[in-house]
Amino acid sequence: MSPGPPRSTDLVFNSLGTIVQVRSQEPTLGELIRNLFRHFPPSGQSPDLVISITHDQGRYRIEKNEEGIADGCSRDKALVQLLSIVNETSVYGATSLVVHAGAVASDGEVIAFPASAQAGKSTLVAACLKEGFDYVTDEALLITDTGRVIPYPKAMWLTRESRAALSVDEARLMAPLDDRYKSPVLPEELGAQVAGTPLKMKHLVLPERNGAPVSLEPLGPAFAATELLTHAFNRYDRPREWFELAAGLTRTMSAWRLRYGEASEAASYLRSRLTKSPAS
Amino acid sequence: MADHVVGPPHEHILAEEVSDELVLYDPVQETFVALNSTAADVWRMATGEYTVDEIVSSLASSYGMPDEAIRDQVETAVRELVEAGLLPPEET
Repeated sequence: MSPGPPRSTDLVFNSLGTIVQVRSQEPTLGELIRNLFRHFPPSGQSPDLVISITHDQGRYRIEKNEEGIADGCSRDKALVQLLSIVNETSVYGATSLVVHAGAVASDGEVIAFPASAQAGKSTLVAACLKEGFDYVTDEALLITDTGRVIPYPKAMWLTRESRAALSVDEARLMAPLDDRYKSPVLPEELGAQVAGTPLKMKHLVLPERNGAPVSLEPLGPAFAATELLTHAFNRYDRPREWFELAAGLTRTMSAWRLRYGEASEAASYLRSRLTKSPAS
Repeated sequence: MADHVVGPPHEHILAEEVSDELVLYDPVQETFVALNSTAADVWRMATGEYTVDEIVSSLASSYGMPDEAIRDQVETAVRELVEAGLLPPEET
């Protein structure tokens, strides 16, 4: 029996409240896209964002809501663009407090790592997943008005160096990119799963990778609140409400500064110090 | 600085108690500021009624310490709150 014609992809999913539709004619790319967004809930609603990827003789064109974004690019660059557009639209479209942070969970309790870009959030999150934590996000921590955390399980972006340090099996990556880019890595590729809900904030950990022996220094609640707010993408959307929410959260969570050299060592330390379930 | 009447804070400043600390938000400058417990106590007394000296004496008494043991902390807190635009400057 012949395999039949290649299938096109038409995927609709909910990403932090933004309904995203991704269309691709190219079966291989379509399979990658389905894998990369496999942890986002499918949606039957009309899309807020439509991304179409077409190709001609190996060169790709991307359209966002029928407007050309990039043309003549490689498959990998098209994938990077797609993930970037979905991420940016989702994060800035969310109505919850959205903090620039990585986060993991254990027994429904969230440990968040607010930090700027290039601070090593994704690598630290990935190391925690290998240590047995559940995945929440490597980019955007969503906290609702009631203080609950919503997972944002996008693929993690890891450099080749980070993947090597974490012993990621390159041959089994679902969407490996060429050496010019970080590669997306899914939680299951690190032996982990996406955290189930409900999730509540338990620890705010400010990562400081400075080569020092791994340690945790307790921080005051007022400082923790300002760190949450200064790392929030949308802190000025509803400033009074977010201010009250952040202050309220610090009454029930602990805050720490984590100094470390190697992410794996830090993850193991966090597991032993901040959770009820030491790794087996 | 001893005779400086401290405060009152600008009306638009928001304050939230967290444990014995305070977090402030200035919507005009769009800044968030964390105050440790001593600075928070200074803020609570920054009503426009008390001088730096009076705040030092009051807090020293409540902490069970001599005035001079906390004077530097109080003066530093007042100076930093003024510099951050959260309290009005000393009138000259």
